[in-house]
Amino acid sequence: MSGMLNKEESKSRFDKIADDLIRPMTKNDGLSLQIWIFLLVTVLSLFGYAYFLQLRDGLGVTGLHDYASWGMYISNFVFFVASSLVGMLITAVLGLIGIKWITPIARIAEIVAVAFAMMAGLVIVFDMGRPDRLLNVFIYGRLQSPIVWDLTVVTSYTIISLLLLILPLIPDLAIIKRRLPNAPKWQLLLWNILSFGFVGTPAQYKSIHKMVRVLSILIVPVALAIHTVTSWLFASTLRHGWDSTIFGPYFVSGAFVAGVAWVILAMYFFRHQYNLKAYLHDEVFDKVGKLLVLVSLVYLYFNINEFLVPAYKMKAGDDHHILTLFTGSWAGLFWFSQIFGNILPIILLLFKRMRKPGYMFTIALLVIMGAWIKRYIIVVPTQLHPHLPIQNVPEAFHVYTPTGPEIAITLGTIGMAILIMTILAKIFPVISIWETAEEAGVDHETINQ
Amino acid sequence: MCDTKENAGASRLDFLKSGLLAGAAAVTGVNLLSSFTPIETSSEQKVKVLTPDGHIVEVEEAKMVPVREIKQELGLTELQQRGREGIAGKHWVMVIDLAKCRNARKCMESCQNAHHLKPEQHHINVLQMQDGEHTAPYYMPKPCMHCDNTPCTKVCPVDATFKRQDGIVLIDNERCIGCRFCVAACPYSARVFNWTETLDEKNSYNAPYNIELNVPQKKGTISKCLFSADRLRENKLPYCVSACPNGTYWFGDMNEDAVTNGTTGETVRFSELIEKNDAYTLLPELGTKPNVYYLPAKDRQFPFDPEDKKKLNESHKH
Amino acid sequence: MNRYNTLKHIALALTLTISNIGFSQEWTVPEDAKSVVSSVPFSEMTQQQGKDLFNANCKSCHGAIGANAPLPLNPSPGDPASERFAAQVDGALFFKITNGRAGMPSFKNTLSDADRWALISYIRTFHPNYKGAVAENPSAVNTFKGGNIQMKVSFDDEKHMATVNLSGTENGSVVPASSVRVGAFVQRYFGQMKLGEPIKTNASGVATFEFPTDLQGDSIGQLKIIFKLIDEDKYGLVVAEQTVNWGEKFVYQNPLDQNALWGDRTAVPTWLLLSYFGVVLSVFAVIGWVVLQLLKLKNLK
Repeated sequence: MSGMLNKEESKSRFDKIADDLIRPMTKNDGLSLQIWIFLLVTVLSLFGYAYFLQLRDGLGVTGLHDYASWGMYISNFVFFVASSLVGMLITAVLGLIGIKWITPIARIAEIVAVAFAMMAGLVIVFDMGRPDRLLNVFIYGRLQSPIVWDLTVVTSYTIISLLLLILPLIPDLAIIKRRLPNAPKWQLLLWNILSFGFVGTPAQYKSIHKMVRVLSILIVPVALAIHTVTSWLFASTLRHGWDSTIFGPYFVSGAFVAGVAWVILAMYFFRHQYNLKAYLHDEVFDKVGKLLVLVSLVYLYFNINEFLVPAYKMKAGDDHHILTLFTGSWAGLFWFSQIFGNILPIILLLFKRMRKPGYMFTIALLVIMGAWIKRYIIVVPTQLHPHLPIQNVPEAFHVYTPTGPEIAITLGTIGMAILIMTILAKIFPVISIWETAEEAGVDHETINQ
Repeated sequence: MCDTKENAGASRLDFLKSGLLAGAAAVTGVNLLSSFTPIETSSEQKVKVLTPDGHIVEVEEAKMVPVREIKQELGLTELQQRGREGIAGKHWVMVIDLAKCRNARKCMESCQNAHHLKPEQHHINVLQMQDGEHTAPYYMPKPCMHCDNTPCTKVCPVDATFKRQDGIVLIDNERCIGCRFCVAACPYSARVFNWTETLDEKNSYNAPYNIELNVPQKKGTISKCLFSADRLRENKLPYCVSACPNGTYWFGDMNEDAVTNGTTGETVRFSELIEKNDAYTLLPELGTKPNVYYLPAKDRQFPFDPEDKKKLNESHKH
Repeated sequence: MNRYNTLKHIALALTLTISNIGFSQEWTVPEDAKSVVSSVPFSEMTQQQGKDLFNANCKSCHGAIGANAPLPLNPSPGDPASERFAAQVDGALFFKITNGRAGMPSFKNTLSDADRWALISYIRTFHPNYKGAVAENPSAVNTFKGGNIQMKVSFDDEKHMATVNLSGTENGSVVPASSVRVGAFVQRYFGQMKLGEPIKTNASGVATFEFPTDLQGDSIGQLKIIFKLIDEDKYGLVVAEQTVNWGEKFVYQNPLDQNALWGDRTAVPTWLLLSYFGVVLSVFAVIGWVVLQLLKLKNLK
């Protein structure tokens, strides 16, 4: 691709790329966007009403009780943290080892990461019995508590992900600023601020590369920490099913599966909605499909460890827990998440013809459903199998049934994450213009004309 | 030589000093009165009130001190300060004699009354236990174990639940953020949460918050067994301990090696009691180091209810 | 067939009803159990034993004997001094104490046969008109008949021993109070802890106590020892208290003085504090560096 291009060629090639990638930002999406936004707003208003009820009447509006005191909200929190981890996998791990095909999906991954990381910080608030006392965590924070560690790493990860989203955007925004001089004032102002005075000098390029490189290294331990600490919220307790030493890597490997599935969904969506078939082409899908197989295999390995070893021993307490998952009341959800969220993608995506956008979209959707259910299965059944019998409480305390408001709030938070992604994808180009151009052999001078 | 009733100058005896320090006596008096909840006005002069230990007594209306005046006398922080410090030199311990329990549930009742709990909320819960398919079933009262290696206080992000110097694990519902990590962390399921409006909120009961009683209860916060820290301060045994009609509970201070039976008032050496009866702690393999000891249900005074046994057998089949 | 079944059901229902009534009011004792009598003759000793046993095991429900103040339970435990108990033969009382029912525990395993007979022997002292089958009911109780008992105690700090000396007024003159039970106690937070069994004074009114050497004292090893006459109802409250230095010194260690994971926010272990701030500061130092570079970007030519 690189070779020597003359000025003309270079210019026309760059114009094509820039036009293609900027078009979605200016294009009037008309009805489809309106319907999309309307849908999200509806979900959000339902969320608003449900949360109002919860604030007024307490967490009692949910199906939670003393023997299942963490439910959908915490499952959802773990799911969000998991989904956000893909930013680290793609930009940092694959980026650092110099894999080229990630260029068109790096920003999508970062957008997914930022949206879910931000929401992860927010959703814990919805689970709090006294959200009005949120500040207590800062006033009386106790370093021994994994919650404090979790808040610290979620905050750090969000900041680093935001920086990793913004840094590669700087040259793009400088380009857009020049190419769309008639954009609304607020947009111009935003681009102006976020391009940080970038004009394309070699020193500026060098500086950006250096910053991205440093952050890419930094985000690896931070990302591992965010999900490991999240797993410690469970693994640090003495309960059957949570009392596990491999929870950290088990969660991290599961996170990559969910994250890659989200990226596939977003890729598919942008490919069609933003008409980016030439950039998010079949070959990228093929590669991402293989990536999903790889991360799913790692996850399968941890699943085998996590379930087979205790099932082999059948230690008192663990036995009941495991049997309800394998053959008891939780079997349906358990096997759904194992089969559709882990085994099936491995088998199907081994075949090249399944690694096509359409199939992969369906598979990714199933994987995400399986991933969400898996978190639910990690969080809820353990609490319903305590060390001592559940007695002298209402019959309903033996099970956990989420209520309407609870589901509305959960869907609302997912809606919010998707809304953040929608907005980010509307005000910024979803594929890096300058890096795509660079790979197409366009020189810096042309890019920054 | 010493004569009858004569007390040759005892200068120290520090562990006999109750938690009531000089000047704190007023606090106790206030404390007691402030815990009265008017529940019914029967005549012009007398009012029926609910005492903290769950009895309904008649009090002359003229003698009742309105709660508002007390609030001025005693700030919230003072009670919290005192409650967080605990009683120096003490190490409270409970011994539960399973052979004596007949599931009378007077402990549960008096506890719920004292702490203004809802019927499904238990600081102490009498469980029907059967360790194995062929082992004998028994009744097991289960309060908070007030562990020395507390899984719950470990995880609290804001010091809302904490262990004080006399070993009691308390909860400060003025600080609790309602994250329920402690509920998840407790292997004994000893914690309850106020999911909805509490009885105190429903009855607009607004006495100053007594951290040692965890009353008034607040929506969105945790509640748990407190070893009746408010009663210990007054040299009284916990609510559950003194409510038991069957002599199941012993309670005392490990530092003076003595426990007192809540029913008979008999005081014995703690070390001797647990040694002679092969006492054990619950789930010792978890390393929580509980401060509640159990005496095995050998030579029991009451048979296990056949109805309960039938139910247990059914639950085993599931 | 059908009618037979119906009849059976009615009969069953009737039996259930009757047994129900029986449960709440009557407590039937098998005839052969009624005829059982104590193998040990009742004596002053068994009565005193019985009294202590009663106070430890029965008082909580039956109330102080003779006070007619049992707990308001259904069925009522009753006051053992009452006519309801006086009307029952020894064998019946023995059967009931042994087996228990509903709220009344079974003392089969917790009290020996002799203990249960001792209880009955004590209860019988409240039934002056009882004429049932009795092994032997001595009317003459061999204890000090006088009153106004004075107690003097001397202590031997070397041997951890105490000698209690009782004198009382009998027939107008002060004499040694013999055959009076004295108990030794140690003051504890919730009550007085009994040290061994009560000792009866000898002919010269003296009872000697030996104390265990491993009693937990206060921070300087002090203990508050209390001597009390056991038969308070007979002689009134006679008490002697003394603080002695016989206890083990109590070394108080505040568990909160150590840094621990379970401790409060001020007790955070050093390794955790350093790791946390070490990691957080390094991460934010890098982030700060990046932000600084970002702000400097426009000056790079």
